[in-house]
Amino acid sequence: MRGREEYGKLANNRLVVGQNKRDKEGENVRSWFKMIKELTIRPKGTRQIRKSPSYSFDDDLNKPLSGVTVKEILSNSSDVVFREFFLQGKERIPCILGAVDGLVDKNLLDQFILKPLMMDLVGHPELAQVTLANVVDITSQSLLPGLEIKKISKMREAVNAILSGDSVIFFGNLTEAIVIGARGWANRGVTEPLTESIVKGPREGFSETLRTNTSLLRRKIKHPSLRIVSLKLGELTNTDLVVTYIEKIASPDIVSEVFRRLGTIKMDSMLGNGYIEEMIEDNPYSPFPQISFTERPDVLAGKLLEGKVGIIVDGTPIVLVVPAVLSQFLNVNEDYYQRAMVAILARFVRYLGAFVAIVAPSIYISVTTFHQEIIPTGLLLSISAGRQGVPFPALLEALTMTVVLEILQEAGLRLPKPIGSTIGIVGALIIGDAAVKAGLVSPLMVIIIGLTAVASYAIPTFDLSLAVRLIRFPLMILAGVLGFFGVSVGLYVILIHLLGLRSFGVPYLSPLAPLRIRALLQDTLVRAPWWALKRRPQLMDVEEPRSGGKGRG
Amino acid sequence: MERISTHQFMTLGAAVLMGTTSLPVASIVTGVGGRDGWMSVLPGLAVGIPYGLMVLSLVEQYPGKSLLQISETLFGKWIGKVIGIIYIIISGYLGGLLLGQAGDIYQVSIMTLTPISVFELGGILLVFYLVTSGIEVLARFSEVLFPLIVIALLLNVGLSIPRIEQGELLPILSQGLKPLFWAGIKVVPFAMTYILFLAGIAAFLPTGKKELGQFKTGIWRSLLLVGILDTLVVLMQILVFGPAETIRLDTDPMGICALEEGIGF
Repeated sequence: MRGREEYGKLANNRLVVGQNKRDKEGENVRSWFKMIKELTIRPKGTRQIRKSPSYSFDDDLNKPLSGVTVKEILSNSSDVVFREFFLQGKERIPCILGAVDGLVDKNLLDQFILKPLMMDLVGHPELAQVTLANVVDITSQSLLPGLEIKKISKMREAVNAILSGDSVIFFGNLTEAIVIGARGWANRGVTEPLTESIVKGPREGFSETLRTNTSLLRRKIKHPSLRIVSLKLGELTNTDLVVTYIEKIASPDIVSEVFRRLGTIKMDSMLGNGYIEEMIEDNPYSPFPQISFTERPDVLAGKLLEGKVGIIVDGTPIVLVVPAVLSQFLNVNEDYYQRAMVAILARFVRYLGAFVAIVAPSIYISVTTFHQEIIPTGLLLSISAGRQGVPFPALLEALTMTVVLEILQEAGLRLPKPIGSTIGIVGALIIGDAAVKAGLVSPLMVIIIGLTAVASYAIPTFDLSLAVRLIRFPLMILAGVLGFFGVSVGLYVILIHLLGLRSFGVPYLSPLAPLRIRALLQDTLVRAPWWALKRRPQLMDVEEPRSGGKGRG
Repeated sequence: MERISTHQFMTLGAAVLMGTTSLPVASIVTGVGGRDGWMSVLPGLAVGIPYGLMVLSLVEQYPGKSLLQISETLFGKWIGKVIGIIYIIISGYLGGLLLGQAGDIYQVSIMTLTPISVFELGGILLVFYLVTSGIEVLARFSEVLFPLIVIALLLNVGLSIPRIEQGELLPILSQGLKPLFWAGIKVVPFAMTYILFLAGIAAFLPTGKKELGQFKTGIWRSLLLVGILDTLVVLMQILVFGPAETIRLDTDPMGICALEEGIGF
């Protein structure tokens, strides 16, 4: 009896163990699925990335202000300086001035804050009335001459102010303090941007400091309707960020959608525009850029005047502009500074260049592999003479050459300039020439690849030329497998994809489809002269910016 | 519900009509009407206009409802369902026919060694991708492509001019008007596919008074535009190849000719 009981128990145990094992396997599978899902599907609501850990001073930050506690919290860093001094008013008040060395303008603090308070104003009738109770009001109202002076009463504000480059004066054990805006750190200054060079037009570009950037923008649009709204993102980096638009020109739907999408980002760090871009773009799996960027204040001002919304992030000169449509990636600011005739020609060349960059290799492959009949006889003979002795099929030849081109581009991109040009010469000229002489590739192939590379440089925006480089490969493979039919299927797929794409509610191919005939003729494939650009582009007929195609984003 | 604009409505309709007619129409009308067949294309397609207006009046009375829902409210549940099934079968059949034709052209004239199923598969995949992207994308697709098709067709016709033999059209109306009538009857089914398409997108049409007026002109315009283009195509084929050859070539032989002409053979 007993034995049977034990046996039963054992069997039961075994059952439980077995079940546990099965559960564990199920969980394993589920966690695998969960991982794959997390890696591939962008979450719909809040996007919480990399939580920051909790710290012992987190509670302190919500408490009422105290200079001593702030000093304790920040004292571990050698760059934070606390200058203690006494203010001799009616009472002798102990003060602490906190600032980050290197972020503040020391000269300004010495000359206009410390010197008056400690030396110049001693004996001044106002200073003589100062007690601990009224010190904050009197100093901020009549003693300190700085422009940016603000009263604060929270610990978090004080810590943020010091770490952002402002300086804070704490008075005794008061729960109020004064923030003095005396930021002055080393910066690059306003220089000409490298990525968007221009022949005829303004040369200044954005820099890494947010305030400089907003000032550059403000210098272009001096009107109260220009809105500059500040936000903060990144729990650890506390990055400042500005959303800017022109009221009544930007669609309120788009503006509120920008704020909504920025609000879904919960991240510990925000070190550049790419972080935001990937979080808020409509379709994360499209090769095409759905948010445009610029480094130039004149471009940003022009875009804002067309009704777009700019996102300026502190710490990067790249300013994001939404919504974006495809045609704007083929326009440059110089189109608007040149005369219309010149601009029309330049745009035509760019569109042609983009088309050549996408299809040139695939057309070569399909013609030489499948459709020799459409080549005139003379050309056919010279092509076949060139391909004599080449051991690879056209597809492989083209793929190899394109990959070599990509390697050359990538290798040359990050090298210092003098070496970069050497790479170009060695790579393109010597390797290309030797490969032809050795009979590895045909001379025509080298010409085609060279043409493709040059044509892709005619695309003015870096983002779009990256997209073109990406879609070139599948098109080449389709051409090698199915000839013109493959290429046309590929192009149709790209077209359908582009037609379904939206950027913040604006159809990506507008004004071409949905057709807005005036916008199309005014400023898309051609640019009408300035006297004919009577209306703003009509791309802003937005429907449900939230939908982002089909409920995405 | 997604809606399509009046311009998209016109181009979408014209593209559907163009796609079904431009390839086989020359062979069909010439087969019945002989060298005068080209005259019957436009009247034959014009029959579609009253039918199109009829569908629009249905849209006006039952806004936002699809053909299936409308026929269910009108004829009761079962007859409505039967009509729906017939509709689906006919559309599927026509779609398959079109796909087969396109595949056939590719196989016969461009890539002879590749099996036709590859082209059909490619076409089906594209259509599926397009359909899953929604009516909006479909409408924009036609909006982008239709002008290109028209330009290509006009280039086709224009580049074939050097090959015209003027005698092919003469004598005009040697058989009287009777063959024209029968050829026109042969064109009417194409207009009916247009009505089929109209009924299919009924649910996606905006139903404002202004839009309905524009849709009416849209129907006129697309039928007229396609009718004229088709007439040109038929005329050109008869002029270049002569009636006998046109009947034999049931695909569009001018494309390749024009290509050769353009490159300079």
